[in-house]
Amino acid sequence: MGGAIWRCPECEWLYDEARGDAGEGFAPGTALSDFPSDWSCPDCGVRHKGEFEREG
Amino acid sequence: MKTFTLERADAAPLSYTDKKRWLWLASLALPVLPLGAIAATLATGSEAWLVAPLVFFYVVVPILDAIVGEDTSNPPEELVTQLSADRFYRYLTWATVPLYFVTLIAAAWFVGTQAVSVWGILAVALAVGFYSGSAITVGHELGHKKEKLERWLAKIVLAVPAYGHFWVEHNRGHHRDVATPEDPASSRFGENIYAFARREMPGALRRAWTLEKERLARAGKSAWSRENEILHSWAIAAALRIAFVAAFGPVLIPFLLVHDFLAWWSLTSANYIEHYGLLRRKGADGKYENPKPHHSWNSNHVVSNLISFHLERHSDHHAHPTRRYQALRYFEELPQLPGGYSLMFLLAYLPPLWFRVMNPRVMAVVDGDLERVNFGPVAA
Repeated sequence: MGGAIWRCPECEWLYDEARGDAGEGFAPGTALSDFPSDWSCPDCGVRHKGEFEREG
Repeated sequence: MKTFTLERADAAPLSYTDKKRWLWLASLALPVLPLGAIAATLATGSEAWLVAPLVFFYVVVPILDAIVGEDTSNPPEELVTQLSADRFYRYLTWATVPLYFVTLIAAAWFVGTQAVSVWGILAVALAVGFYSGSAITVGHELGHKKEKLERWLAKIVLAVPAYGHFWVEHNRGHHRDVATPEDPASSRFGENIYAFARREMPGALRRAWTLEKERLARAGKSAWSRENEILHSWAIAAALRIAFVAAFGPVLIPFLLVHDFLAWWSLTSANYIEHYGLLRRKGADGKYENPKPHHSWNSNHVVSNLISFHLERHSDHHAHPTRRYQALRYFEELPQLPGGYSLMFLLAYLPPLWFRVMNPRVMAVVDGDLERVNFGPVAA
């Protein structure tokens, strides 16, 4: 892990583990599995991390 | 009239004409109500005009909704991409943003510089406050979009009703927790709107702040950082209000308090009717099922939908929150409100009437299954 890209199945929001996400406060290298358990997609709000689909 | 078409290899070309396309302009005409009432008062000297905007919303709109009726038509799914990409629709939402500022400035000038009675001030505050409540509807539509410009416009327009925390609260809080006992913005079965408001208003503020604090903390920043999205909108709201009091005097303080409260109350009213009594079920993993269309009350009434950017097609909105207003759909067998929002707000303000109309509807929607009813936290 550490290099995967994940996609929200509802709104297509993308998370690249290698790049992290500054807006969400996730440093580069943060795995999706390390997100807080109550975290939900920042764009649509209706999908949690367990539902994200692996893109690459 | 613009028609969207799609060539298909295995079937006849698909086409869709949006009958409501030009009717969406109605939102741009809304400020005519408060501004027209102020102008009529200035021209005739009679403050009775100031009551007209509220009469329009609570009396004329329900009558028009009853006469014009419902529109159950949907765009074909294959054409939604084209329909959503048509920039005409988003320009309309953007164009409403300055109108909210113009209207509030005009009202502040009127209250601060003209000889208006206490009752007149109250009436203007209610009329404009109600209109500014619809700024939250615009902020809602814009705040759900992925474009930076639209998100900024959401924060700017939410400064008019001084409700800047709504954007964070709604997108990341309400949408995640909707139709659960944990959501301060979903009303429970048997809960009247006055009890709901006491839970919803502070609960929404608390959740927004907590969510923003958590997001900033992950990046090692303070909640009071300049990147706090709530503070952006609040700063504009505060600057606006300080300028008003400086320019027009202390009479603006009670005016703004009533104005802001009425705008917030409009949102509370919408939240109250949108998910009343509905509950998502918990799965074996302890997580609630995803929000489905049947976790929101829907209304297809044409007139009240036109002045709220399809907000009343709320079921599809919660199932697909980033979908643009012109593309929101209606599904059969959804929980249906018997009227548009104007009428339902009135019912909500009279709790015995609300319970009589809505409680049987909740039971019908859940097919008598009490495990699908939001009764609030149940004692273990």
